Amino acid sequence: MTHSLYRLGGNIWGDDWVVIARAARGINDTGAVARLRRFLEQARVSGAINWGHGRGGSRLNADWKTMLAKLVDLATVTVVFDDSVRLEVFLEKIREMNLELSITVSGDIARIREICDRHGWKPHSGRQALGLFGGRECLPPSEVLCLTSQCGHGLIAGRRVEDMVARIRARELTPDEAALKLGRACVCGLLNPSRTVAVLRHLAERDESRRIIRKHQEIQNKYGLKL
Amino acid sequence: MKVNPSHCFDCGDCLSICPVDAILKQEGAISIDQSRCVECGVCWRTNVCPTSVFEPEDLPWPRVLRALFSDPAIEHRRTGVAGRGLEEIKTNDVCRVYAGDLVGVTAEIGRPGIGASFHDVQCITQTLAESGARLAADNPLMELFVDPGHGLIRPDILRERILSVIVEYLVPKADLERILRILIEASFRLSVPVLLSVAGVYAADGTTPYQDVLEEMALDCLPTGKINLGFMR
Repeated sequence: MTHSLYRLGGNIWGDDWVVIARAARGINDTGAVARLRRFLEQARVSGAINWGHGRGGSRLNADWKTMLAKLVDLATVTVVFDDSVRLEVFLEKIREMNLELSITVSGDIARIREICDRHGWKPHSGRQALGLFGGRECLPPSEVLCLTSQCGHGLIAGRRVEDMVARIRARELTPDEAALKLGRACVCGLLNPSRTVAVLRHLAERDESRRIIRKHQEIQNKYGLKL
Repeated sequence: MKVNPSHCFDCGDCLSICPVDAILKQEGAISIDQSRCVECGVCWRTNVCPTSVFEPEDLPWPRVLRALFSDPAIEHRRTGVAGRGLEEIKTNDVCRVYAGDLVGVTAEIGRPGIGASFHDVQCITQTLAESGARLAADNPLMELFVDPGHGLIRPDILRERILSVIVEYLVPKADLERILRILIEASFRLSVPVLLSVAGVYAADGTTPYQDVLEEMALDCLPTGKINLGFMR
């Protein structure tokens, strides 16, 4: 999967990091459930703001015990941080724990490299997002895309984002409640709730948001979605 | 996905939950546009309906492929991985699929949130097959080819829709620019979005095999990506 590679919106909505833990099939997957569990427990005490895996659900749609109980050796486990200091402390701890799991970090590549350099870690492999090609006319506006791309499996609907914004404006929901409702669709726990609240609040509070979205769409089309 | 419209009390909350807008309300009744539905299971799994209007069902071939490629709770038999079914760089410090000057080139077709058909996928795989690019074998898509050498997918599934599919090629650095140019051109012939990425190993000096090729092509890459920290090295 490349499902955390294209989280659009950059740093303007705050820090956004995904850490992925996985065992390799047929190589070190035997008994991986216990190690994945320790990874998740450490993330929880280190200040991760979301977590989960495809089979077991996330912080926003499953309880902790159920999520852990559904772990399998080949689960791809993901945790989300909205603070680079917490992320760094967590990674240091995971390194010390020597869990025999492959650890991958998704986010701003230059900043991940800085963290590696500070700790003398030699990264093994990298994947670089090149951009969005093909037919883009049917995509939602960039700020909506910033939230729909939070779920790498594409399970957050653009129409749902617009619905949540309308309900915040109508004072039926707070931005926090709307973020929670939106995040329930993202089964793996990849959605960053802090960013989601910030974007929803922004969209709901600004009277001119619709005009701005149209403007962003124009920029997006002109420059190829590099917002 | 089945619906039980008689359970509906018309709250309307489900209408926006579907990522491909397949939930409809016609003459006061909820229904699902089965041709649009990709069987991702969001409407059912999120419990958006307090009266359980949505109900999963056993899917016949080839419709079951929609769920296999769109529902991240289902694992692919071939790879043991859920979702699009690839380990890619996430275990490369152990598996070493990308090594030396070999670059992984992926095209994710249909994302974000638009969806695609296997016909769209075949448009890419046929073009890349003509270019001589080598498909990465560890991909659930491989089981769906009738002729992988020519990039041809089973004709009986071409109309099936999925949320997205990843096609991956293993390309020697010397051939990377040519393959990327062909892939970009092929992507723009589709009406659905295509996300492209490259992957490779870091050399001792911290460079990757794709870095200078991307610079030479003047591709304006996104600042985001993934790094396998090499803790298992």
